[in-house]
Amino acid sequence: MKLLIVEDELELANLIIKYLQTEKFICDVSYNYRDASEKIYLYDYDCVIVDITLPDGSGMELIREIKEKKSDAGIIIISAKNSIDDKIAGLDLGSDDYITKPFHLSELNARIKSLLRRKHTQGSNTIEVNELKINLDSRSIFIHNELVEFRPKEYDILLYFILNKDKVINKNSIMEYFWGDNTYSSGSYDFIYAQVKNIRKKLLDNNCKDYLITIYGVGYIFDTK
Amino acid sequence: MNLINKTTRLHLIIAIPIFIVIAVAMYYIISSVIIAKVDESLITNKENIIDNILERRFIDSSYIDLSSIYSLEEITEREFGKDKFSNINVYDNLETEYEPYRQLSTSFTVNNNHYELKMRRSLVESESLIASIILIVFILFLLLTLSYLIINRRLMVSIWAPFYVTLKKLNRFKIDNNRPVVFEDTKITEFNQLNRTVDEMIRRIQNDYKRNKKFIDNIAHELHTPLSIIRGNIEVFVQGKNLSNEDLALIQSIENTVERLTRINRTLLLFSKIENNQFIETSKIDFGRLIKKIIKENEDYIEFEKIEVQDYLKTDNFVEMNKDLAEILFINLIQNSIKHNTEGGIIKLKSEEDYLEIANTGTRLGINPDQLFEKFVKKSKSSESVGLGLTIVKQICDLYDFNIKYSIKGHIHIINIHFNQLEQTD
Repeated sequence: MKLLIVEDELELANLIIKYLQTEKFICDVSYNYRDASEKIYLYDYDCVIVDITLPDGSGMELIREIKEKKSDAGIIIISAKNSIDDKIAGLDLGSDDYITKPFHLSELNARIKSLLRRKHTQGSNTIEVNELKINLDSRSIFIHNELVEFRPKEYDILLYFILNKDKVINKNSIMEYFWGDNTYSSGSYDFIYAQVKNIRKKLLDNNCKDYLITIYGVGYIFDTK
Repeated sequence: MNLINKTTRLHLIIAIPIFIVIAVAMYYIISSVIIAKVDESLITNKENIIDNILERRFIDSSYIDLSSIYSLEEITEREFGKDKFSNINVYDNLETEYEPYRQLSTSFTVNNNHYELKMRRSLVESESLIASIILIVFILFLLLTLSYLIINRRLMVSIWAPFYVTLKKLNRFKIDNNRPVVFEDTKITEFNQLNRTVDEMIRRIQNDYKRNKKFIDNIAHELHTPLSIIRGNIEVFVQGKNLSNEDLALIQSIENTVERLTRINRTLLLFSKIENNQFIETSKIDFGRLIKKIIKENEDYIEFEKIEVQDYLKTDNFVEMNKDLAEILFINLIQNSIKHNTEGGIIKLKSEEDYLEIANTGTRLGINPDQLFEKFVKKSKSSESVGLGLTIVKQICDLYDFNIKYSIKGHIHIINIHFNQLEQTD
């Protein structure tokens, strides 16, 4: 899958690329509007990640250009402002998702993967990892082809792990899932630990390999290696 | 009291003493004029009578009023006096009451004999004449004043009309509405000046607001991007194998701090946005229903903490506020009541038409209750609580003049909010 990252902050752009490359994406990068515009014109991308505040132009304009080219690329907007107006404007123009800085790279990764799945499904929309099969449409999880009950939030977390498999996931990024954008005080880690523990138990109880490993202090990894 | 009523009132207050002074003055002036007339006729009569007597003529009653003669006495030289006027009250047998008379007493000499002549005139008719005159003039004055007041009111309404137009425009002014306020020319210099000054002020305010908004937007960008970079670096770094537990702990400490900074930044941004009136749009929020929805969304956590929720919320009660701020307000209240609860505790939710109460069991406050809504104070034993949630809650309540109060009864913390919207009329 080919991605274009449009971000004027060099360090951030390079971090994103480094992370995504380990997910076997092919990444191009543009640090300004002009370069991005050119690349969009010349090449086809599966997904474009655009920072809407660029020094020499507006990310929104890029979205328009992508749409004008009748490109099928998924579009994810990165923004520092949690601005409802921007979100709506972006969605109106045709973007598929919106993520606010500062975000966890695992979060960005999960969204890109979900977006690409939505756009490239032929037949059923499932993810298979060894004995695990996840049907994204019905939000159901099968282990060894047997349906296993997971609560909605447990499903979300497990999917998040699987989309970011073999990557260390920070517990703070899981917190963001639960507590959302509108909370201003910190949440409780105990609850997160309990959720992950439940997921792990369900996996083990159904003869799944022990993929969910705790990384000391930091978080977890869904290790399939 | 409004302008026109006050002016009318003042006019009336000033008119009344003037009326009184004029009435009194009129009484005295008219009285003296009429009495002077009576005196004049008394003197004429007296002179005619004396002339006749001196010429030893018969007193011809055709041109002398004999009825005005009261007495004619011989007096000694010693008692001789000049003309003297006086007011006398005489008892009238017919009317059985005292009646006022004007008396002239005078002395004259005939053939070395001295005589005193006293003449009287009734004042009864004169007095009623005075009364009638005063009444008529008084009524005229009253009518004059009333019509003046009415005309004056009409005039004032029309003269001050441009002022009221300006007032209305000011009332409807919304700071985030980019439309300029247009003032029309009036024929009155002072109102034109007022309009010009207000216009300048509004332009300046609108400019400042725009600049402020930009400033906030820029700050967000500036602060969030470095935080993103730190976070990104940590995430990539942590993928490496061969990290000792010590390394991991150090790294996570940095990430947690980034997390805190992010939350603080988010809060500060919200604060500035609220203070810059960027949440102007309001709608009717069914707060009972909204809170029920929030509870449902957090039910996993509630169940985890084994908290019992007692829901006495009533739906179909509305509060007028911004939709996003409503979500932020109630989410923070509810999550606060869950986070600072004890395991196996209770949350009791109650609402009325204009009122919300959230009570929860909980750990004791580590701080003075008055400081509950202060910024950046740790609230309880739950560590890492930067305590910003409740300050946001307070700020939103302040914005809409909601009355929010915290109290504690034993182990139960109670927050109640009065929305104060019932008496509002359009």
